[in-house]
Amino acid sequence: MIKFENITKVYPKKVVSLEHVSLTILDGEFVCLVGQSGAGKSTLLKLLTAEEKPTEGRVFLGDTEVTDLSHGELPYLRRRIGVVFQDYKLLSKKTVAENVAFALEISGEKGNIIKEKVSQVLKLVGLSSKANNFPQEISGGEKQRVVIARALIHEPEIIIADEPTGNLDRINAQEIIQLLLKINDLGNTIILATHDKEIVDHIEKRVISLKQGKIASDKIGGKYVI
Amino acid sequence: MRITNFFRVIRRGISSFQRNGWLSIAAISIMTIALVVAGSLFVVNDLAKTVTQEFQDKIDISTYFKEDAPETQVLETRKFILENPKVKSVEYISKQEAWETFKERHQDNEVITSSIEEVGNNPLYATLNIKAFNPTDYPDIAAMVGKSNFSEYIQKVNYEQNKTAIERFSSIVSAITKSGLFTAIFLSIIVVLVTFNTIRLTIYTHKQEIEIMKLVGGSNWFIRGPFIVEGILFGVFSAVISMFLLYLGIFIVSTRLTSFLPSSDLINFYISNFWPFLFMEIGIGVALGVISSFIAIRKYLNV
Repeated sequence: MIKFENITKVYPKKVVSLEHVSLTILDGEFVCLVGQSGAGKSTLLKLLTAEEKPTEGRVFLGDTEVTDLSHGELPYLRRRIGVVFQDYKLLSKKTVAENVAFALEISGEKGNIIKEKVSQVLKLVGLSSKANNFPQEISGGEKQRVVIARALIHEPEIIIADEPTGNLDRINAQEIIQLLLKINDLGNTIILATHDKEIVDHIEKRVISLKQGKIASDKIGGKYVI
Repeated sequence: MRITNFFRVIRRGISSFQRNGWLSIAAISIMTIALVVAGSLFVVNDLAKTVTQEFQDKIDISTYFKEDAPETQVLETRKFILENPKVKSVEYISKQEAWETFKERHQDNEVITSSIEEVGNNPLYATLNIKAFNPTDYPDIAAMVGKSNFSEYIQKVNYEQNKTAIERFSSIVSAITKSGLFTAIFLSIIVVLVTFNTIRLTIYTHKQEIEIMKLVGGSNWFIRGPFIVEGILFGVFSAVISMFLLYLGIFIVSTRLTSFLPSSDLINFYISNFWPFLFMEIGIGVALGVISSFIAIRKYLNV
């Protein structure tokens, strides 16, 4: 379970990004976080991965109080979360397989187990044939699938996808969403931040709308409303 | 850190070193220059010591004894002077010895030879030639000899005659030492800053990589490790290359240098000090690489 408790985030120069936001996401849920640019979607996600600290309030992931973790404890928190970025953030000097394996290497997993898991997860995202290609040799949709594979490899409790379809065409975007739904069916919690109305309306999951740093609406089976 | 991760970090460091070929070459080149400068300072320091030593060995003050001064008193004076810790050596040249040397030196000069025969007896004085460890101490030593209980046997101390030369030499030696030290510190600071900046740039190119590693849960040591391994590799490679370049430089300079400074033997100095020299270069190189990497990466780990 993820819990945001009365969160306020004010950036320097008194830019208010989130204001008294309280929110609970249950295990296994698929949540769409919608809102215009600057509504506070990305800030909310960054608070969960502890890239940002709230000005006020507390964030929980299960029993862990994220806002209370020391710098040294952050790696362990982040291994419990898989993140899918809009701009992929793939390592250009590493092959597809190496990019995916990397997330497991850091936790000290043995080589043969990593090899086996990488092969499984690449199969799941349909990229087995591109394992030895470098990121610059594959398409945008394929890159995003590599990112999902990387996010999945260490079997995280939740997957955060921040505008994962922002750089993709309609067909590739649909494929990525289908992949996320499939992963959700396997039991993972998914938080999808997007402003793609068509996708949100189509999948009919829980929709949380943010407007000027506050929750404007929160509906299960909701539509894109801002 | 687990042992699997330890080897993984080393492997990733080596792999990054190979894959970022041009960056590695740039970093090694800058560090090689740094190490050649450091090595040259080491060689120049030795050369300065040789030159100083050579000049110092040529300087002394002579104490001439009166004709009737008994040899026992001369030897007592020698013993007394040697007790002073500033004194390096005192050479005794007896009246007879001085006379023999004089005759031998001028045996081909007929005028002098005939004059010697004319004089018949030995007109020279017994002498003590005093050398100090430090040329700045000559005034004190000369004063000490002049005021001692043995002064009644002493004809003269020739410090006053050599005073200007000794003082000038002392000031030159002290100026060389001071400016050498200043130059060494100045160059070392520049070299450290340039190396640090080069490594900072190589790490800057990995900025996004570091950020991603942090976001997928990489610990600071796991991320830092490969850069430190790279820093070590930069250090070792540049140390070996700089040793070769230094040898080349020494070889070229040495042949010309020996013609006007015969006591200098840089090639021999290089060969006899090869291993300590190599370890010093590797030590400086590795320390520069590791410390620079360590500091440069710090700000990117704050994600």
